[in-house]
Amino acid sequence: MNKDSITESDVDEWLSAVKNLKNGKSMAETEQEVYLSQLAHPEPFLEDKFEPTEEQLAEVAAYAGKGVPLKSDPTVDNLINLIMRHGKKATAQRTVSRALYIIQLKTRKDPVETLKETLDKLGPLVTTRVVQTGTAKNKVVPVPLNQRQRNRFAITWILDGCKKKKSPDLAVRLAEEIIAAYEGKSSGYDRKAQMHKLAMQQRAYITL
Amino acid sequence: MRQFSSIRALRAPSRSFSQAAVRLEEHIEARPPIPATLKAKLEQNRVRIAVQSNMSRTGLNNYEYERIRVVPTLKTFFGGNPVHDENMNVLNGVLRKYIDLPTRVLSDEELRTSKFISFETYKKKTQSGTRLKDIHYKELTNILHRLRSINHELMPREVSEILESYRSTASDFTGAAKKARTLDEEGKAYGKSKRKVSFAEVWLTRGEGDTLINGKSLVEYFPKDTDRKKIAYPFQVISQEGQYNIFAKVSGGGVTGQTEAVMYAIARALIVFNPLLKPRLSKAGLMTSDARNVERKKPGKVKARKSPTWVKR
Repeated sequence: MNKDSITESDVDEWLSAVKNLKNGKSMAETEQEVYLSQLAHPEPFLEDKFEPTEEQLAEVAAYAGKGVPLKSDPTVDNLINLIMRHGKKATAQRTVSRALYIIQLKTRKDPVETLKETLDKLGPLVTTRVVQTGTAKNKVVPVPLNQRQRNRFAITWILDGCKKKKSPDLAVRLAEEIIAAYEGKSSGYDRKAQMHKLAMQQRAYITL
Repeated sequence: MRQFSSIRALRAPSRSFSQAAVRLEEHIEARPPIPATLKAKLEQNRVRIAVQSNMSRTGLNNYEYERIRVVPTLKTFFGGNPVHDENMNVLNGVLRKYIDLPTRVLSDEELRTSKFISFETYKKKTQSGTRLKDIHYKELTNILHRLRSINHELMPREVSEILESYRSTASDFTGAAKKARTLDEEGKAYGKSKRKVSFAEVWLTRGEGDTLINGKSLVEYFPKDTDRKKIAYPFQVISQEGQYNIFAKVSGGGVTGQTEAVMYAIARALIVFNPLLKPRLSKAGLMTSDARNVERKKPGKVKARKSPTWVKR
């Protein structure tokens, strides 16, 4: 090569070429290069992809369409919690389970269903609340109850009824009272009627 | 004297001390002696103490006070995180200086190959123990990434030196990403959980439903029926009762806590067998264990909230 004919631009070109070589190829072009570059830095290409086996899919299919079972019956839980005193849940649970057993022995029906039916029969539909008007006279307003509130009233009335029974064992008294209520003989029905009557009297105060 | 214990070097103060000195003159007669270690360092730094140590404070003028006063090296010395605060000050200063320089988009390759020091290393570097929080590290890396994105050709030497000092060595990032749990070589799945003060560890294998809890059978360990129902509940949810053998270790707490801890641990172990079960189990409330704990007793109260009975006088 002729020394004199080398121009500035030639030098620039060479320098840039050398620089490029030093830096190495930034982009993989051919298939082999892509493969090698991925081999050098495999992290982004190694995806932890979970592929379920057929057994695993079958396990899922076994419960497909079924609802998730509850840990315990909410109605029975409510009864247990209302019977519980001083945080002694195990005692309350024992009482309720014994009572339910007695109910089953006497009625020959599913005791939990019997309990639910009884509570449904006994529970009031409306209650009344006193609303302060700010002036001399307060209003007594009928309020509808939801399922849980109805159950609570029914359970408290049943527990009140238990106190009048003779047996020393709460489980026995509870069973007797539930059966009585199931047959429509509980004193709770009077209180329910009273409550409904009052609500009927005050029906003018219902605001819709 | 404790607050000066970490001072590495001393420097001649640039701030005026006159105000403080005037106040000091009122009540203090004798000067406290300079500790021997600091004195040696003063000598090293060629700060000559021309004033005799037994001279009274009132006899000194402001200039002499300025010379003998002990000054922390870092301006942020009295803050919570002196080294980190100082670092942030420096970095912010540099960024402010070069904020107008054009930036470039960092390539994926670059972000992957060169990283900054890890949180743990930075924690060691700042020497402030647990006072250095995740958020501090985040603000540091944010600003470092901003500095790093300055265009290569216009990158000031000052900035590149700073960046170099925060660059990580390869050994810094040994910890790999979290791995999905799998069955061990014997086909066991492990799960652990807590409830109240109980802690349960459970190993599940495919089997006929044999159960050992702390070396005892299920009936022996949990005589109450309701407790055993809770143990069976995760299997009931996925309708696979009696298809797994349970080996459990439980410690702490009472019966309820132990039962529910085992229950949650079983659910955790089940998803190792089949991750597809997770949505169903979490729907049943088994994937998040009940984190509630006993509320602590407070002073002035009989229990956590109960007030002592009111007595008139």
